[in-house]
Amino acid sequence: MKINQYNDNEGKFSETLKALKNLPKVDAPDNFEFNLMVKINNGEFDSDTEIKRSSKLLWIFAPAGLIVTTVILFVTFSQGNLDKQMSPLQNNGSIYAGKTGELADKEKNSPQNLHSETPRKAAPNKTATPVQDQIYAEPNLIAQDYYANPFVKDKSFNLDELLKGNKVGGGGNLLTAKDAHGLGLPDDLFVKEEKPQKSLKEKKALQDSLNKLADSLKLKKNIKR
Amino acid sequence: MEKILTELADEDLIKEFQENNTLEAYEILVRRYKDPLMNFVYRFTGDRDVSSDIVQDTMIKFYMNKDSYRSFAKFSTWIYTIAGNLAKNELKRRKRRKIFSLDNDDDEKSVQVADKNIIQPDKAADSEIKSEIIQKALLKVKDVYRDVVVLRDIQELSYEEIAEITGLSLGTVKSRINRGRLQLQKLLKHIYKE
Repeated sequence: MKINQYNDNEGKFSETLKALKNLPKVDAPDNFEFNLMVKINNGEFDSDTEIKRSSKLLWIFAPAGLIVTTVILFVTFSQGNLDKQMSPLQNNGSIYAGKTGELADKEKNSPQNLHSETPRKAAPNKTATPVQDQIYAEPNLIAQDYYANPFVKDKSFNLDELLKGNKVGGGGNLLTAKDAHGLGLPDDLFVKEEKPQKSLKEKKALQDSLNKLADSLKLKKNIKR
Repeated sequence: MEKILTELADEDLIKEFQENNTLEAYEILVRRYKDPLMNFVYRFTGDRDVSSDIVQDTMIKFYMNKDSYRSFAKFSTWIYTIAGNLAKNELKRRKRRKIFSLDNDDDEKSVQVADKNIIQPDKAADSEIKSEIIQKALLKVKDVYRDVVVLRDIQELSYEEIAEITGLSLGTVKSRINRGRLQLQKLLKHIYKE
């Protein structure tokens, strides 16, 4: 019954079936067998469609890969530059070399080198100096100028700045009366250094020893008598 | 030897290829099936170059997996099954690509142009254009109906062979063929009016 029904349907679609049967036959290309045998002889068993698909995937992902690589390289190198700028320890001395060289020259040329006490390393070599050697205390140029020749220049000086003391580097913030005396200034302008008083214990010990000495001398005199 | 081989049936040739690894037997089978497979795959995919690649892949798979063929099946159904599966995979890939592609559907565009041509009687009379229109209409039929319609009405295989190739029951094959034909007839009704 069903078969008959389908056979009837074939009659219903006769025009369509006729059109389909009359379609021209599509043949394989002439070099089909040759290409196939070449592939087999060369052992190229990856299917053409697979190769085409993978090559298309490559084209899709290639730009994305390129962008990712560029971003990684950019981040890496920019980070490296940032580190170089931020950390003087990783610096090869190139940034401070000029400054330190200049400062060293100034220092050498100054008539009085009052900063000789401050621990100081030589200017780092530009080429290959160890990191520790690149660490140094930058001298206070203003204080250096004052110490070099504070009052001679115009027979005048900035007393406020001198008294503030924060411009003065080295062995203390205040200019003492002793220093002022050495420079020919009135002592009253400066803080006087007070001599440290001896403690009571020391005084008592001294008194005791003197008493003992006196007692011993008296004893000696009595014996002679 | 070559003359004798050419007279052998498909099943005997593949047996020869399986047992003695006779390359001539393989070449004869390739010669016999390259054109029918090309026609089948082209009617199913609508792309000549892609069809050629798919048939090449089919033949390579046949060469590499010759031992997977069992003698109780017909060679033609076995090779059609390989080709049909490869063609379906290719269509799935293309559909995926279309989903992610920003381009418009080229097939849709060309079919619309063909529909305009249908109205013009002088062009419809031209067999070449007519066959092109039929091919375009065939590509618009659902995949599940198209392959069975092509196998039955273009390749002229029996229902049993189609059932074996597709792995469907005979009833399903017949109903799918019927639905496919119906869809195709609706698409081609303008031609018959003319």
